[in-house]
Amino acid sequence: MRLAPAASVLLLVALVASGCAKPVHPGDPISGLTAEQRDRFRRGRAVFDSVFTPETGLGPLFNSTACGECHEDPVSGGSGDEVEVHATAFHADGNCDPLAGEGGPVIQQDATPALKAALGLDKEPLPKEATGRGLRTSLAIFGRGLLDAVPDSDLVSYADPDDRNHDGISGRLNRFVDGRIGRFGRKAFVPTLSEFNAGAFVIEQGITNPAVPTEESIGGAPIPDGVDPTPDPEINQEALDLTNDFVRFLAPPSPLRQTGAAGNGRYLFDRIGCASCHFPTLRTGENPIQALDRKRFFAYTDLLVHDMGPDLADICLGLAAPSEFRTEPLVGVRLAHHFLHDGRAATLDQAIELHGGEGSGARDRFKALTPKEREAVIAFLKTL
Amino acid sequence: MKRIASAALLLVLASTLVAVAAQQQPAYTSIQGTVHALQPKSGSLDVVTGVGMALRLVHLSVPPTLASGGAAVSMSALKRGDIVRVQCHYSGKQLIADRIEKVGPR
Repeated sequence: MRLAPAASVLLLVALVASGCAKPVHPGDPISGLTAEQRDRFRRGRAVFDSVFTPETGLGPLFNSTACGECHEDPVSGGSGDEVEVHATAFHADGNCDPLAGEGGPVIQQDATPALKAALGLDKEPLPKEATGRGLRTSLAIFGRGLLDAVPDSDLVSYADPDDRNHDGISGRLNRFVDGRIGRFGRKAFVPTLSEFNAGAFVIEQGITNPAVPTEESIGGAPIPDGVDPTPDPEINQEALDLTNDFVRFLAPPSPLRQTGAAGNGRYLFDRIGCASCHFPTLRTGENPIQALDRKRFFAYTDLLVHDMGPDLADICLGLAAPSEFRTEPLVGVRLAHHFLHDGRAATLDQAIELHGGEGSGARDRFKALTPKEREAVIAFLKTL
Repeated sequence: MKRIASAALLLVLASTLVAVAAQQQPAYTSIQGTVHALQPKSGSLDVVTGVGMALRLVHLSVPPTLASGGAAVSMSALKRGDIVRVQCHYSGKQLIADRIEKVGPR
């Protein structure tokens, strides 16, 4: 399924050329939406930016008061400076316990005044069963509707768990708790965008909705009486659907012009093997929404999890071992202020140099480049 | 008259409590998820399910008479980490398994 380099370059040129006519800015909707879909995008953004309070359902445990609080820079749907705490238990038999009985893998970092008064908690306690703890930055979510529309069969074709082609890259599929193929989240655990969003309302803001009508427990314990009096679900199906439409229709920003060093950097990115995991483009399958139907788009990911080495390892999730992470989509990376899943890299150079495991080959080839060539790769990344 | 009023009040309170209880737990009739724990002797089965990153641990009671055959399996055929589809019903607050299918190992 991988495109030959020449075909890939031609396609990139064509995509860039088409983008030159009308560049897509961060926060824009994807092109080709109907008037009704554009209206839903606008109304969905309003729900996305809605600030919840305890009176409108916030909490009792939460990480943020609005989707737009963590996805705000430079526009709604962008990145944020918040860092989350996740925890799971990785057992010797290879099973990963997402600690669902102890409040789930996301450890909320804030609590409503009513919960604080009732239990004296400022945040959810870390379950004592946890064997690993991971930090997660709030990343930009541009282009996620396109990623959602890539067929599962494409992901299956990209996977090479036994490295049969001996390129040192053995991307694996992750799977959700019910066995479906995952693709969203830093561990590619969640199968669909709408499920990710519905779950996020509850785990991030404590906002129940028709898809997830129950609150998170308090580290496995029930919510004390009177602490969360807002009737469930705390938002209705229309609010959930509008939010989904905003996120689904949020376009990946057009790459900047790739001339000079950046143009050479694009070639080097492919030559040193970055593109073995960060696939420049993916293609959506058949889709009832015309704007998402059979579209090739810039992605820079294969949506698989890869072993990134022991230094980056933190938690397991689904089939993903602590050292396995989904290839980060690099679209919009020029807008990011920190890099890697936990934000430990302050620069793109550092992020590349921290790649281990399956990424170590490309990392070493990057380090072996001349300073000018390395600058070219970074210049290219800063156009994405 | 007073008795009728008290009875009516009790009825309203009881129906409110039932409604609140119903809101606190989704009305499962079918669950697909990962076996978290199982105790065949006591007929106890815990399954992790959920939506997105909002995961829930669901406890089911499995009657010893649960039929196996065809796609349906008994608890003895299961192990931690298996993916199962369980048809179930409520008996009071208890969730009772009616049929368990093994969807596959993860």
